[in-house]
Amino acid sequence: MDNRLLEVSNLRVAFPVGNAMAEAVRGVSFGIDTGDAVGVLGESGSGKSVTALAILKLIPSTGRITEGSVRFAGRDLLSMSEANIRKLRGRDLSMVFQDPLTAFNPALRIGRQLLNVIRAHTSSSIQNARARALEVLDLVGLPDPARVMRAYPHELSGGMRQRALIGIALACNPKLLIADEPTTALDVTIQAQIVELFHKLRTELGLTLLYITHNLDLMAELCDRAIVMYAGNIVEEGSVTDLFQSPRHPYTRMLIDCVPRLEDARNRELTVIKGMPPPINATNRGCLFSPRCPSVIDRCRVDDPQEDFEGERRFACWNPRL
Amino acid sequence: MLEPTVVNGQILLKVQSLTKDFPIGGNVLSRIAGHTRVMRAVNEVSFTINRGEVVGLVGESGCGKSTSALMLLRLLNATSGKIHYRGKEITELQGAELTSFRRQVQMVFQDSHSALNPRKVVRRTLHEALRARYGRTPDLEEKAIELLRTTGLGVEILGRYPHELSGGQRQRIGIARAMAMEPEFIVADEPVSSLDVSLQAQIINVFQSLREERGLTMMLISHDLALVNFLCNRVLVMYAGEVVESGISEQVMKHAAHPYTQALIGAVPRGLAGRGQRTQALAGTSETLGKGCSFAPRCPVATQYCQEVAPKNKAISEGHTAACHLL
Repeated sequence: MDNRLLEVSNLRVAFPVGNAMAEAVRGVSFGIDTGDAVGVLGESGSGKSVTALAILKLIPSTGRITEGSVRFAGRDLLSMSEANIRKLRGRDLSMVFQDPLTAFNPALRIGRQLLNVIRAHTSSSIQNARARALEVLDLVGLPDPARVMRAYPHELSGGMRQRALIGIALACNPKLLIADEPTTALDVTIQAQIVELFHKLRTELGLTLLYITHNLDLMAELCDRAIVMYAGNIVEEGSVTDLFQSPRHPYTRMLIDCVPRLEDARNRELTVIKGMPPPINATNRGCLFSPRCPSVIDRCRVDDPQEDFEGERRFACWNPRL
Repeated sequence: MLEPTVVNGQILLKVQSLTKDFPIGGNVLSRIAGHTRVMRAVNEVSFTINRGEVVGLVGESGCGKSTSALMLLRLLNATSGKIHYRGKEITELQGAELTSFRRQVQMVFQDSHSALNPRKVVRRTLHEALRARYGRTPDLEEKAIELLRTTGLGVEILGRYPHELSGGQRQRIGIARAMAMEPEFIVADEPVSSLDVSLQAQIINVFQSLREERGLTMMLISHDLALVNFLCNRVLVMYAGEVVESGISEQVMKHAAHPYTQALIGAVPRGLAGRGQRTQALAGTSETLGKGCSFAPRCPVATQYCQEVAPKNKAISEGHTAACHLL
């Protein structure tokens, strides 16, 4: 357990909807060991991004963390003051966002934004900070780092911008990097370049990674372990191999079967997950996936599913697959 | 289920040397005077689409795939080149003839949110399309309900506004509206890429049934090769405004000839199979045309000759062509 870098316990996050508070994250617990790459998989609205933002205490001001704890490198983040957590963000705990254009300040050159981060977190001289800035831009595979430093965000292509953003996130050697759909806005070929970069960072720097995505196949290439979220709950967690080869939760199985793949037979029937995810303010009893679930039994509609553990994997289902 | 590769051989659409230039830089005066530089978005593209066929158009953003599609539907005028639809040249059509052509071809857009009028309930959106097709007939409501059934939606949707629908439902309304015209030919531009994975299958299945039950001719624009392979009989691969490879989907996916097509296929995530044995990602990004093969700057196997002379399309096997010197 001494290897444990991040421990999230029973995290609950609520947002106001009308006059009531609705839970976007409904009691999520998981841990990440140093050196791990953990994928978080789920549809939009499943609570995966909110979970990531809650770890960094970046929940939009209307929302509230109502319960739970987040321990990072032995410290409790949720009780930490804003001043203290600011020292951690961007240094020990970094995040890469989906849209690299909105993540940058459009009015400042890349170099300025990169130097700001380095100088805010280290006491290095301007020369040393510059040297470090050039070093990380080179690390993320940007050709001609000096030119990139002088460029404004709009002058870079989408792929280059995402690399620069990853560079900023890595500038202070973070202990944990959280990446929220970092390739979703990019072309497939550029996506492949970014995935290759994450591979390199993992093997060369031993980067610890929390990778949020809705792309199962991409996650399986990059991560060792995966968490599957549905409607604010973790429904299954396990090694990527186990999840793919023998998913226990019906939702995981359906996620795997609902997308066409290159090696598929041409007329394979795609699994359709009927209906829609529940609204954020759903207060149904029982399993929130039950209205869409093909293997639903009576109990699913009445009792909240309890987690079952099998070695390194867990799942929350009353009628799991064998 | 019908075998998708068996198609009726009649040509519905024939495109010859289709080209589109967009002016760049300069001001209004220099444009009027004709002194502007142009960016060639689509460069001498030629292909045919047979009746009943579903053709995929793949490539990176900016390769000219959407521009080509807009020209096919006359939503954008071509700079040069010819488009024959049912044997009739359509690039010069005007007035009533253009209106009649546009009834036969329809488009489904990527972003269903901006494609639907937010102030109109579904009933009004569908009724307007149906009136354009049939005039004022008393059975508009029945026809609208029939359209919803075709796209797998329930009647209760009719009174809802677009913002009250999920992304998947909105996209199906987009398809229903296109189908209201009883088109012969539909262009779908990235119809599932804004949807969650769990909802994509619903839309893919709607297209599959339109193909199999109605024999609809379609062009599917996508960057998702797995989807194209799944839905399309034939595929056209575009790079920097040119078609660099075309052929039967299965053949192109299994025996890609052009290095660009090979790189595109290599870029598709493969799940467990891809762990630790990912192929080298294609470096760089697409740049504007110079002389020689436009892919040469990124091509892993390019020679000096490729830098200087633009390759022509060559036949590799029956119906399978690629534009590469190294074949």
